[in-house]
Amino acid sequence: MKSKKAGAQQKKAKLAVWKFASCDGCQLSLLDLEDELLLLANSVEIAFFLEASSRVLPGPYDVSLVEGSITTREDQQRIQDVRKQSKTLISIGACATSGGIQALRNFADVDEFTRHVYATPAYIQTLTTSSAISEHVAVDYELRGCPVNKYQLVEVLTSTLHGKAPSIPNESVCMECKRQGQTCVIVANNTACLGPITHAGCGAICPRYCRGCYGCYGPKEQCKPAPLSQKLLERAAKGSASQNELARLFRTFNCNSTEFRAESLLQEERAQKAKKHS
Amino acid sequence: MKRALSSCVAEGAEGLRRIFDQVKNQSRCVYGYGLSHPAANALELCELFGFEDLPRGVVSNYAPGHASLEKEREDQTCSSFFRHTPGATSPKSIQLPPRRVIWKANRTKEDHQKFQIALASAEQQKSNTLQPNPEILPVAFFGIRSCDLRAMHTLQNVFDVQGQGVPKSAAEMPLLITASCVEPGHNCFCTSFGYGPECQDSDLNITECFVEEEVQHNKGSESALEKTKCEQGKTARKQIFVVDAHTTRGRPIVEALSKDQHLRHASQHETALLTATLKRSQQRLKEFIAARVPNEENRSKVWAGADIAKQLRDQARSKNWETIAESCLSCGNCTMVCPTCFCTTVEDSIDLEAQRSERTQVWDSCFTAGHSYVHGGTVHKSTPSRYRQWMMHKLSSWHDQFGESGCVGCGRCTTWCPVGIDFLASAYQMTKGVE
Repeated sequence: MKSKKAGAQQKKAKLAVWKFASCDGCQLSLLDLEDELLLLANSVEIAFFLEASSRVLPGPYDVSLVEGSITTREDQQRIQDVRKQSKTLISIGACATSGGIQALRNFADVDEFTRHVYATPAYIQTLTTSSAISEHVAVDYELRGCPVNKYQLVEVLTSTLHGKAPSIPNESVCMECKRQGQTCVIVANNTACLGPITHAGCGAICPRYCRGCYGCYGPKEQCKPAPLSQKLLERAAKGSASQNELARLFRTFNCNSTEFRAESLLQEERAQKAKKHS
Repeated sequence: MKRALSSCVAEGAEGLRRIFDQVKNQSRCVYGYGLSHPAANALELCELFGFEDLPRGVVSNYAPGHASLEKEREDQTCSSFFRHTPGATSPKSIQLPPRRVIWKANRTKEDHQKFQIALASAEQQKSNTLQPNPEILPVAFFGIRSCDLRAMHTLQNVFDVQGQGVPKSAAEMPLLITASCVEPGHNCFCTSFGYGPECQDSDLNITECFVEEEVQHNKGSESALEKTKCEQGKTARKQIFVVDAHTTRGRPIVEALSKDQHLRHASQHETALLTATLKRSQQRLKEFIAARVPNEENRSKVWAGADIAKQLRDQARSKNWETIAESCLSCGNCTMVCPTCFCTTVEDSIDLEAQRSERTQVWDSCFTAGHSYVHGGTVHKSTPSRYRQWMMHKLSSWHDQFGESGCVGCGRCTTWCPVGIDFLASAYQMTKGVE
């Protein structure tokens, strides 16, 4: 995006970090950049980042990082404003890229929720769904993960600042897992693992500790959950997931992504049918 | 079966320890199959720091998409060392590391438009292609199998053809100590390629045999071989290691050990035992292959030849690829564990201030969208087309490209496929054509 004379007193790019419905974990990844934080502060003008500083500079902004999903009417409007003020808009994390864990409401009746949870439900104004940023405005880049990988965040920022394509592969978690010489937990331990259909990026943290992948980075390109579900069910007797557990496995941080949503609904339906029969 | 003129014998675990120590003494480091941690459910290729790191009393159990380890009954006197088959990782991870920096560039202080480029050091590159500095001791592989060795040759051939190979003297080559597969895995099919289960082109090959010390009148030696569990008390089972040196590097090891009386010439009985052990292994392999390739005529064909290459080529446009790849997740596990899959990609990274840049070579897979990405988009968009690309490269176009088969029949792709797609059965189905 910028490649003026390096070293010369060039104007620093203005960075803004926005929060929508989220837990703040992805923004925190930015503050968690212990080794790179000073370098980052040196390379960009941090113009809007309420989690870090109350100093707010007016827009427009060169790069906007957007965290969180859209769950209220106000947010629906606010994201339009953010888009208007941003040259480059990057949505970060599972909430911003697919709707997050709060998209569980998309599978249920929100009115019923509010009636059960709040003493005066009439005070609550919320949308019936939680949706990704890209469903509302044009997004220049989506960085997956719950939370995002801080090194990938630096990679995306650096690439954006210097006009290079980010090295963020859209392959499966298995690729990262095997490059590290990890033993497959499905094949060797019958563990329910979503690695083969999940987008890489986390460095295969869970399989590295002999646990199955939870699909925090959402569906990978060419994501086909059905054959994996079938195999995991075949292994259910050996400790893998049951139909109900599978439905829940697909219904976590990326429950609103097309492939995971469809699969969780399918497994839920089958589990209910099986229950009726028995 | 061609046999080395005089096989030698090392007795028991102590005998094997002598061989291991001899190899360890004359190498920089020893790689072999071991357990990455005591509770591991599979063997991996790892560095063996001592004889104790060899997996003892462990039998591997493989099926499509399934791997487990069985522990033999605790018995210090005769638990086996080589009744397992190759682990998930292969010598590929040493020949072609999963990640390696190719070059680094730094902006020069004087002129910001100029860069200083540092290539990965020649020495590092050398050690990566298994050609260490001749002044340093070579790397050794201990207990790898004939399929591993064949895969190493296949991969080296790829490097040579692609011009990545560096001419090397024999002393720079790794020391290769192989073990015969006395207990082949269910997914193995090396014999389809006309070799195995023993290895005849390594420096030294070890075959583990069990002898019934005091053969009881009601138990013949044949049934003793069939015994999988060591029954202490009833029949004393003795372990011998038949050693065959094939090269000028293997022979001195045998000579040194013979001089110290740790090795002796095999008796006639022991040679017969060796033949019987290998024959039994071959027979089992035949059964495993027959279970997946029902057609007798097809089974007996040597798959290493150009025949299969042509048969598959004729099926390039077949609709069957979609059936075969129906359950394929396109996750890339098969290509990652394949000992000959050599595809890599590069990742470029720069620092925040754009002062430094780095290019890293990383294992890639033909099952990713990026692998076939060219100007305008990805060529292999669908999973069946990626599966076809993979299988046809392994068994067909590898012949055109490198003059041999890209598959060695180790069966790793079948074992480590999360949904258990059987490569051999699929290849057989494809060659049958449209029905």
